[in-house]
Amino acid sequence: MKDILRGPNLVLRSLWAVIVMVVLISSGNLSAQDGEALFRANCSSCHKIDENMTGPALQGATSRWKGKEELLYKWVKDPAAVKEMGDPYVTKLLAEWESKAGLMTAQAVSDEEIAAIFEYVDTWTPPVPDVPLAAGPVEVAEKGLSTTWLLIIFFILLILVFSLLGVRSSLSRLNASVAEAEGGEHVEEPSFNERAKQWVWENKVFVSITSILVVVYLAVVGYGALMEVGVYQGYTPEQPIKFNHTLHAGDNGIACVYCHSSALKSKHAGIPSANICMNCHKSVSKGRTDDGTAEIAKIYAAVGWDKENQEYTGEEQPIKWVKVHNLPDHAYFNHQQHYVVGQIECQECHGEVQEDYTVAGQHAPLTMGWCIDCHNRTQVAMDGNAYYDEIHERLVENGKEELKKYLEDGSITARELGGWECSKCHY
Amino acid sequence: MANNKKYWVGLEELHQTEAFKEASENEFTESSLSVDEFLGETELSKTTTNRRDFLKFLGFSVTAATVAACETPVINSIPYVNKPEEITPGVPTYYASTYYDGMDFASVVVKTREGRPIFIKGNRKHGINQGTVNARINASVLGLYDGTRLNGPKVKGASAKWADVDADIKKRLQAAADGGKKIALMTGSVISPSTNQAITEFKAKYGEENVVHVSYDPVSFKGIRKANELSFGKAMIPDYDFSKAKVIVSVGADFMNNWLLHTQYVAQYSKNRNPQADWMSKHYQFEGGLSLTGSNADVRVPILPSQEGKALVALHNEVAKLAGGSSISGSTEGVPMDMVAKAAADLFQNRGKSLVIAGSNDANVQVVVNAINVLLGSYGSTISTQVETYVMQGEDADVANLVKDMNAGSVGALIIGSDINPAYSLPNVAEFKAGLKKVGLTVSFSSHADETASLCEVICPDNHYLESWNDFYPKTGHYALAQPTINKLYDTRQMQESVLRWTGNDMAYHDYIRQVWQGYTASMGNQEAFLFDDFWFNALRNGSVNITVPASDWTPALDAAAVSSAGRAITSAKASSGIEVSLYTKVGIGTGAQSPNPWLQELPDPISKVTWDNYIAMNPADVEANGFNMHLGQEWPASLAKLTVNGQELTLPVVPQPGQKRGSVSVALGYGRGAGQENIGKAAFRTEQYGGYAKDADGNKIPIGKNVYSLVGMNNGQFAYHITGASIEGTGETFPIASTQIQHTLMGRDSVVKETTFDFFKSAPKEAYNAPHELAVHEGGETIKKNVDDIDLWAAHPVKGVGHRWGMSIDLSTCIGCSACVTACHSENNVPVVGKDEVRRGRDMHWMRIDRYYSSDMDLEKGAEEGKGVIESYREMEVPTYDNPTTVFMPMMCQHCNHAPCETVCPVAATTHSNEGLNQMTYNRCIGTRYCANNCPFKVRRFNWFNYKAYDKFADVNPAQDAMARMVLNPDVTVRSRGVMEKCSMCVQRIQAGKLDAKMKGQPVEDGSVETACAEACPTNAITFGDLNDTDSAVYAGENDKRAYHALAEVGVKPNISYKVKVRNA
Repeated sequence: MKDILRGPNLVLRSLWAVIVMVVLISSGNLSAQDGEALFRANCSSCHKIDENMTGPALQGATSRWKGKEELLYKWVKDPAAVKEMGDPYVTKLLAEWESKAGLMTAQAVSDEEIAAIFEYVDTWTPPVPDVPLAAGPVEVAEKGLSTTWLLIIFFILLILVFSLLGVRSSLSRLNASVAEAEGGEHVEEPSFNERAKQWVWENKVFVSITSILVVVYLAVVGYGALMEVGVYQGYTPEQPIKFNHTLHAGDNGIACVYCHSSALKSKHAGIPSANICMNCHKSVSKGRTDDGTAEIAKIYAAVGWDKENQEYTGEEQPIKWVKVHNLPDHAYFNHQQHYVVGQIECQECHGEVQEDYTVAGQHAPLTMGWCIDCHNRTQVAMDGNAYYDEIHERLVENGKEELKKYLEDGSITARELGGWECSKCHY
Repeated sequence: MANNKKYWVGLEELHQTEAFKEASENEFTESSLSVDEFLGETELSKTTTNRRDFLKFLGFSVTAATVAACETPVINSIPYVNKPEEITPGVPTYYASTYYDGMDFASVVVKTREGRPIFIKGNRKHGINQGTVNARINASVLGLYDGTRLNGPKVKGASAKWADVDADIKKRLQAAADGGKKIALMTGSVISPSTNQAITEFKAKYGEENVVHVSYDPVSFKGIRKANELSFGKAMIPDYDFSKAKVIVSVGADFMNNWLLHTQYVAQYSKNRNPQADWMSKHYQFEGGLSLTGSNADVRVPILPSQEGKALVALHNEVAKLAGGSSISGSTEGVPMDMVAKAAADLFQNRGKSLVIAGSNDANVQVVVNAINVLLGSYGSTISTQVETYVMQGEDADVANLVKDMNAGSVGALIIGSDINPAYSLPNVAEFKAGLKKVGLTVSFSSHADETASLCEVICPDNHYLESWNDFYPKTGHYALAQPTINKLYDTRQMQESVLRWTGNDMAYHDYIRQVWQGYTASMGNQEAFLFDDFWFNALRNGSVNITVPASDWTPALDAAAVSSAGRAITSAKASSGIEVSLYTKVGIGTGAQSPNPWLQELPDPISKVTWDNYIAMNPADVEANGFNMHLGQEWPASLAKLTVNGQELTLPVVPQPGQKRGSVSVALGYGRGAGQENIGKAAFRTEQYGGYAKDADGNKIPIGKNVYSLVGMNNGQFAYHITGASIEGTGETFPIASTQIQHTLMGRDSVVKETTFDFFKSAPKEAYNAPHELAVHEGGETIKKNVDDIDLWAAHPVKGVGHRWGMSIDLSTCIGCSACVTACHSENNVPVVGKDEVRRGRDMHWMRIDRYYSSDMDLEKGAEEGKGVIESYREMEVPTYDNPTTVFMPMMCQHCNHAPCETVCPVAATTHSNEGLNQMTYNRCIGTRYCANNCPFKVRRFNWFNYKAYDKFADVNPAQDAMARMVLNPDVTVRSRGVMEKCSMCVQRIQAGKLDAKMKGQPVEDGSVETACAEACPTNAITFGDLNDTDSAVYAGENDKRAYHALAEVGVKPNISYKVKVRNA
């Protein structure tokens, strides 16, 4: 820590301090708003207001240092010097914190500014979330319920039909026996089959049209159903952590590839490793709701982060995510090719995750038809890429006929460069 | 003309046996069960299931299967908790490392995916092998995932804890030392400075006088060391530089396969095999059996193995005559003097730029070799005594003495290295085993409970080399490093670490190596500016580092007396009686250390094309004379014969081998592993036709081939691999042999392999040795001859000059047939292993094969001169020059034809042409009609007859059926299922990756940045891959070379693969 104070850092810091001073002095009085800005700029990377982080919570620091305000201000500006002085409270504080966080870095702030910071910190109250966040996709459950109800109704109707049929046949049997008992001539009633045939014969036009319609309907429905086999569009399995894409990518505006960084250099976009979560969640330990806080705690459990003591325990527990997009083994897909080279937005295939989803689901059908459809209409992003310049040059030199084809519609699609060929995805 | 030679694929073709003709007409051999027989099955009529029921069942099962398939399978995906910086899932990571197993040494690059090593290639930038690897090195990655490796230390077969084992061993070693008994450390040749340091510490701990370190090479080269001691007074092996040699005479040295630092020699040798350079080296080979090296020689002279010494004496005298030196007296009767004189003249003419080597382990023979090299002035040019070669340190006499001491009870503890297996490979195994029982403590470092380890009390399993740190010093001034590329898969511990533990040193071996290196480099001077970490990490990144060593002031002075006494010993030897047997190591199996590796077992021997067996290789004339089967094939097994050598009897199949010297036979070492039912690997034993192991009468598993190490003789204290006085007798029984090359017929064609001689090539125009193929066409009412390249049957694919056109140029002059490309392809493309039974049926799955053609001296012109008719000439062409055919190798894989005959016949368009010139094979579309294979003129398409990854039959041979071995699969290549066709894809996954890389960099695809697995593995750079539309590329130059031609040009399929005429400097 002390080493940092030496060297060019010190010079830079002093310069920065001078500039800040000049600006602040010229701006006159400092208010709580300025206190917030100053807190964010100088303190928030190590301190939180109401809880411990790398350093202790700042709220209440003024009361903890009661009677030693001068020392506190000096501490902020030059902790090393204060440490030397050997104040008992400081010694106690250091015994608790120095081993894990090191000695605090000297802050280039004026007394006025320190006062503003502490004013802001001490008057701060935790914000109340305006809108409670939805827990998850509820419609899915409702949809499931309605199907069950339909089935129950169907079965009740079925039972009704059977019992009515039973009543009908008992009645007719009764009828027959009554007639026989009365000594009347037993008339051979035509059987059900015969009557049915009779009816069909009489209504043959109606029957044939209806049956054709039924067959066509079944064929269409059956074809549709078969085409859905193996297509898992909308598949949104329950995940071990209810990660909220809308919050991260939408509200907070974090770029997709900040977490899914391997999309930049690999075929896999990758599920981020937990250490990437910790880049932010080392300081963001509270969610907007208690549920959120509980989910964040799961990350801590995975990476073995002891929030209280702000240290890694070394007890790691990998997170078992459920894979959402399952391509068959014989299909090759490369994120780098599409996202970096092809400049296709993530949302093109994965939907507006920043708005629509909490946990990720399968947006696209991922069928081959869907793939080649896109290859057919997408223009190749070849501007400024010397790879394509070379290909273009060869085409102009040796492929007059092919060139004409491309020029017909003035665009070069992935398909025209071979995006419909088997070995581009199957090998 | 030289290019009119006729080649035949095998003796079956040569003889055109009825059976062969039948087989060649029926390309896909069916099982013998006919439809009638099947329907005639009596069991079938007893069944109660009628046709309607059957259809109901069928419908139900289809529906059930469909419904079941609708269930979404839940697949978990578990990312790293802390992602290591260098690993990105989906992106390979490469590590420079070193392979050394006592036989092969190579600087390699290991490709890992998601932390799993999956591919080994040579390190082209650093190391003495300049990128050379062979099939054994390529395939070694599979051994890492061997499920039969030991998991944790074993004491008397039971699992133990490392701490307990260590305590016990330390106590007992100390007791042995205190009791005045010997502690013997028996290892292969140790070329690791740090290992030697550890052994020195071990010796210091238990007393210098108590500990003996015995070096043992299963195939020994002690003769060379001893000869140098006799000739020059120093037991060493010099450094050979084949790149400086204009004339090479090798007498029985297989320097492309097993001779000393052969990876270095292959790289150097191939540099001078380019006929378009100013000069081309001339290579003479005198040998008994047809070796890989011999098959590549410009001039091959078959001699009896026992005459190697005499031939060298004769060569010495011829050279001495020219050089004016004194000759060696004695008779050299029986040596082909004309060829010797020719070789001597060539050698002398190029003195100072020539090299004579010999394979014999007889010191006398090697002394004569030294004398010849002195006469030729090779020392200081092609041979350097300044640089010593440290491989092959085996002391055969020490090994023999150790066995004696063990039997005498004077050995208190025996510790056996992981790289040797003496209970398998010693000739006197029984004695060794008996001695082992008299040793107080026996410890083995073997990774398996193999022949030796299973007899030892304690097994401390060593890591696989891909899990280990190590350093190597193969020759003066050259250090190499091996680094782990994966965490340990089993509870094993590196051998060196075990030795260190027992000396009380708790250091990790990695730190130990660093410490040793620090010691070395400290003596390098200029210490203040020297940053060890820079040096270390540089060496680690490159895999090796060269250090200037001060020149030694030793100059070899030849002891003339030694030469004459060696000459006396050689010439006075009695003429041998009976049959001579020479024991050799095969390209795939080597000494047998990797014998249970199914990739290597299935690799066809480059010469005989036989897989999964060793056999007696015998000259066809001798085979005929003995009445053995001449024609081997699917239904024509080999004759079994009893080989009797010094009272030992071995029964082996006989394979007719043209080029084998009459009166001698060759048998490969390295087979017959696991004869005591040791658990050495799943693929180590013979399997049955429908799966499961074959069992003998006692219910024991039967090893593959026979172990012939027992035949190794002892001569003047060295192991001898040529034995005389054997006899062979047929047993009347037969044994099926699985050979990959009898199924294609090329007889009479001159458009497959083109060959010419160096002199002719230099003087004649292109048309004379590489005539373009012309066809008669009818144009404008006239019949004219037209170059086949200018004829199109239908519109050409628009690939010429537009976009990419991937292609290959294969130089038959530099291809040595070593088959490294075959194993590389195997490992890159997840090619299934199918086992002996399927290979025998012609269903081997190799995407690429090396066709080997023997020549016959008769041709039509010669026949006409002799007044013979065409038919009679053809018949004569079939008459073998059994004794010395020339051999050519032709790598054959999918030719990616631009007018592909396979594409036009596929009913479902599963095989199509890409706009980059590739012939694409789409497995998910293929319905298995096999029309394409039928229509392929090159017969390179392979059909998945079975579900090799699941069907029982392949459970013991195909690594894809093993949960552990499956980790070797390349995740970028689909594992094919039953019923689909497959074939060479020109490593399309690498092409796609290379293009993407170029697009990412924003530059055109750089020539050489994309390489197929075969091109990458080729030690002689015979295979060049690249973009034919890139006019600056090497492959473009190759295709437009004057030697370039297309195989089977007359069928007009316009392949993207071209070959270059073979030029022999005969």
